Amino acid sequence: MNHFHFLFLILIPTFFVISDIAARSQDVGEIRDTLRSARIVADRRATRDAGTRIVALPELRGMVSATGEADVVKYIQTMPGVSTGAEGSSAIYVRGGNLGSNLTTLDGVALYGGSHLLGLASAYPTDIVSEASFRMGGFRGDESNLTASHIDLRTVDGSFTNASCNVSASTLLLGATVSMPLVRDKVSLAASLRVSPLGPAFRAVQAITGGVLDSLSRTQAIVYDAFAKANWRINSDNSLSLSIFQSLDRYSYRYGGYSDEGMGWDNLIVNARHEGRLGNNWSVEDGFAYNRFTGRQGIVRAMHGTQNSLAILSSVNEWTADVVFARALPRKGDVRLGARTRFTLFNPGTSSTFKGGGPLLPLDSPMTDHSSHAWISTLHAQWDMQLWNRLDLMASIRLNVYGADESGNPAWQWRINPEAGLLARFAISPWLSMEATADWTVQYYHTLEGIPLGWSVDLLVPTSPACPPEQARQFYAGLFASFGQHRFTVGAYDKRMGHIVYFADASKLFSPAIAGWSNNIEVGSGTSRGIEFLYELDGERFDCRVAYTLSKTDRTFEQVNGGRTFPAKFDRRHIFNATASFVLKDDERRSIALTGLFTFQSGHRETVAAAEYPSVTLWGEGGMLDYFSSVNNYKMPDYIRLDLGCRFLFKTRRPQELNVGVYNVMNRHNPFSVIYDNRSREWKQVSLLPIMPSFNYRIAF
Amino acid sequence: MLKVKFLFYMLLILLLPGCVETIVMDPKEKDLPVVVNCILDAVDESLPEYYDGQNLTLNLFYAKGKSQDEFIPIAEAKVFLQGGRQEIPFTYQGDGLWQTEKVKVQGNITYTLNVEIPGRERIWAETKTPRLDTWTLFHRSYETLPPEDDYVPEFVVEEMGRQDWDGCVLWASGWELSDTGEDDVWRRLPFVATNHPYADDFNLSDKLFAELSFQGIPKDYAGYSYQEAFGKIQEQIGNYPVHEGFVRIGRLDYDHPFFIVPGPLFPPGCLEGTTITQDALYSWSSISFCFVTKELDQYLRSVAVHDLSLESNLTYLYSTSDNIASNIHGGLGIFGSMCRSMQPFLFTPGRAEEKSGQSF
Repeated sequence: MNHFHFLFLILIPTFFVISDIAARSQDVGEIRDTLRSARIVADRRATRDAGTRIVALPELRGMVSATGEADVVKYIQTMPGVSTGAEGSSAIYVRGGNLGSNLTTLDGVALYGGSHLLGLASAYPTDIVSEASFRMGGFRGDESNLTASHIDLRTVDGSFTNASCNVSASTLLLGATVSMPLVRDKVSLAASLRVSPLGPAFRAVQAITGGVLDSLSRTQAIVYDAFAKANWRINSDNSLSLSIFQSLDRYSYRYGGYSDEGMGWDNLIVNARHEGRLGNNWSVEDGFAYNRFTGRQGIVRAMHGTQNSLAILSSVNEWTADVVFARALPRKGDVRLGARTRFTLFNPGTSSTFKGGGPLLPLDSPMTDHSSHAWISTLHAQWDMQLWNRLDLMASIRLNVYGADESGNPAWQWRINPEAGLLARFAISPWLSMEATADWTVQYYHTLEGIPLGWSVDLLVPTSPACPPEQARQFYAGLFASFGQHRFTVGAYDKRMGHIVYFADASKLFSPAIAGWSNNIEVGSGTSRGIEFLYELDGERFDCRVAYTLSKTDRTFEQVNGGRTFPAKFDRRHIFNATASFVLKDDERRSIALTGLFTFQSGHRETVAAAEYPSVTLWGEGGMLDYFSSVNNYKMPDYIRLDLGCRFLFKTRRPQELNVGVYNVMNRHNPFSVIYDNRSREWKQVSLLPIMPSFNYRIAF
Repeated sequence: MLKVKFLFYMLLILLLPGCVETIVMDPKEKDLPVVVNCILDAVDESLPEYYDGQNLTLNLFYAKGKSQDEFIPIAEAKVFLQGGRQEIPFTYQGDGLWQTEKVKVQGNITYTLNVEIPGRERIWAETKTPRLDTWTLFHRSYETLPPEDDYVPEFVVEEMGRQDWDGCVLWASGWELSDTGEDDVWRRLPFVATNHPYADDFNLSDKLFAELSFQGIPKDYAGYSYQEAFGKIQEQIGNYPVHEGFVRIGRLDYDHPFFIVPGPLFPPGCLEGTTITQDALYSWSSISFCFVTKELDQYLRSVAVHDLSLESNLTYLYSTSDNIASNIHGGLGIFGSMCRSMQPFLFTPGRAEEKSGQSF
């Protein structure tokens, strides 16, 4: 029995006994008499599902970030069970999963390229988000094709009565949103646009600094996202919405005066939804969506008198149709039945050439083609029920039928994979409940990860015989307690992952050799165990949240590390996050609040060579090879950061909000990676983010 | 890797004025592993140069710490090879080099290498040499002359016995003979293009075959012939990407003709401007085909991936490092085997002469 089993078995019963003793020492009757309304609030909190965290959007806006932009992912990174990637990035590793094991959806449609600005910010503005939840266990019936977590984003609806507008500016993004009726009480519109001044700023820096950037010209950085959503209230029972979301990142430059090179990624989501009430307590939600994600790297170069282009393309084109019927069953809970089918065209790492009319090439001929099709159909059912007024249960099942043609192989391969989720919560007392989840999940899309920044140039590849679907089995058990303004959650999880992928040549993601990705994949397994603790205080003037995770995550691949198990790269043993907000002043004219975040995380893992030796080749010219005692054998120094900010709300006729702050107040040089300097023969630690100002301003019209 | 530089410049200069700090990381020298490198070349014993066998060599030393200057060779050891019913001892030659007497390495035989170092556990490895008659690789032009405008030669691998494949993999590279006046020097050409469907893409470069330029200035008939042939080949396969240095073909069960064309070409003997005969011209440029065993293939590919990764700046920032594949039990390095074949890849000089006569 290792220490995790020990803690699992000892900690929870201990917590239960202590909590019960604490309860007995209180005057329960007085609480009932005097705080009936408070009990309702507590009950609402108590019924929050295990494994689900609601992202508090108002609190989110006050967070300090490197870009100055409020970001859902940055908030989620402070939650228990979540390990972060490289500092300042959007990468998250949930309960031992990979970055690609997480699913982000925008009104139920997957968002595959979730980042802006090289991973520093999310691709969607917080202004278009009306609800955001983060679930890492107890998955619902309609949540599929993931093995770690689901960031469920619901977009705002436009106002049916009043027009309003917001304009915002942060360190790296400028934005505006509008909400207005198109036909009063019938049709509304919500829209948003954000752009980044990064390109002009870079050119300005280039003009000032020169030096190493002299060989680069025509530098461009185009970063924007746009969103529009129209809602139509057809009648009292039915409504329609049509939304479109697009984000784009493009970075390009000319090198040496002759070679244009660039990279970028973009998302396009078109989503039509219908919600309606049917007879006999039934309701329906259905929709159709098109989703496109494209990553591209290209070189345009003059050859033989013509302009030729070599492009490496990676794209996902997905069409989804789904329907969910829901019904409230008197005294038997709620039932949801649904189906979803999606057809996807993958084109990962395909290289093509294009010409400008020269004699060399046929137009648009694929040189290396990995295109393939996949089709996933899922039938799902979910039943929420309450028994004896104390036990809440949620059971969900999914049956997936997956078919795909491998690249170049016209014969479709079919798979049938069931999934299930269970959630149980037993109310021991009005303030204390036990909760547990169990999940068996399957994921058909694999993400070949590059730098752990959350960059969206990671390749998305489908299941194939060489890469079977990823699977995860996860159990969680814990306790939830609520005392007035205080809430505690403590629990432990055990997770096993199968058929997870390891991309051996991640650095190739930035070269044309990316076309050879299929030769560099290893498939293996992983385990993760941990204990999660969360304390939240919702006071009138003082709010705080403290999260702690003790976890251990490892990986095993037959062809990696000699088949021996090794720690995952972001296996951070201890993760401690504390956020706080204190309202200094709140009156009719203004509100001023101080905010802060302190984070302590055990260092992540790097693979560091202890020795070296010469190689031999078929041609004799061997170089020097490194010897590693094992993969991820070096633990980086701990990551410690303190951010402080101040939030001003000016309650004028045109409300304004100003968030100013300092990122990494201690100016601690937190570890990003280690490099070996061949000249000095020393290992060096690279850090990226020193002390930085953070700024965000918003005004409403 | 300019894209990488560009992106990190953007991060580092515009946003993230970070820093680099020295950290202390002392390797444990006492636990340094033993490195053994030995490759057996199974050859046709009927060839004159192998009548008397060959001296097998082996390198044996300790890996060195990253901060150390020199490797420590291993001189005190018992090193021997077991194959068939014979035991072949190695003797120390100095500087970590061990060598056998003249021996004949046969095909389809399992050889076991044993290294016994005082105070260490036994180090051993095993390899089964490829069957010399398993595969026949022939030049398509031997059988039928291709169309007149087709300058791209094709090869066919003919399978003799699939059950004896044993995971062998084909590595091919292009070579040109440079006459330095005294000795013939084979020079490996930097790029290779192929249309083989099972070619491994991992060493694809960012170049097309059309981007390669003929090297040097032709001075004679042979040079002009080569230049013209190279230009014609570029017209035919210019849109194919080129692999860096070699091409690895992971599966051999492909019965159709395929081409392997190296580049860029040089004028024959351009270093000295020597005059060559037509027969010599025919074999001036060749493709080297190496059928390597599975364990040797894993090692070679692992080394090649490692060498390529050194060209990427990201290697320094994002480590996906792992040890190079090895079949040495108790140590590092490789004990593998292979057999080789050389095939000319240009058509007959008569054909080239006919073409060049029209042009020059």
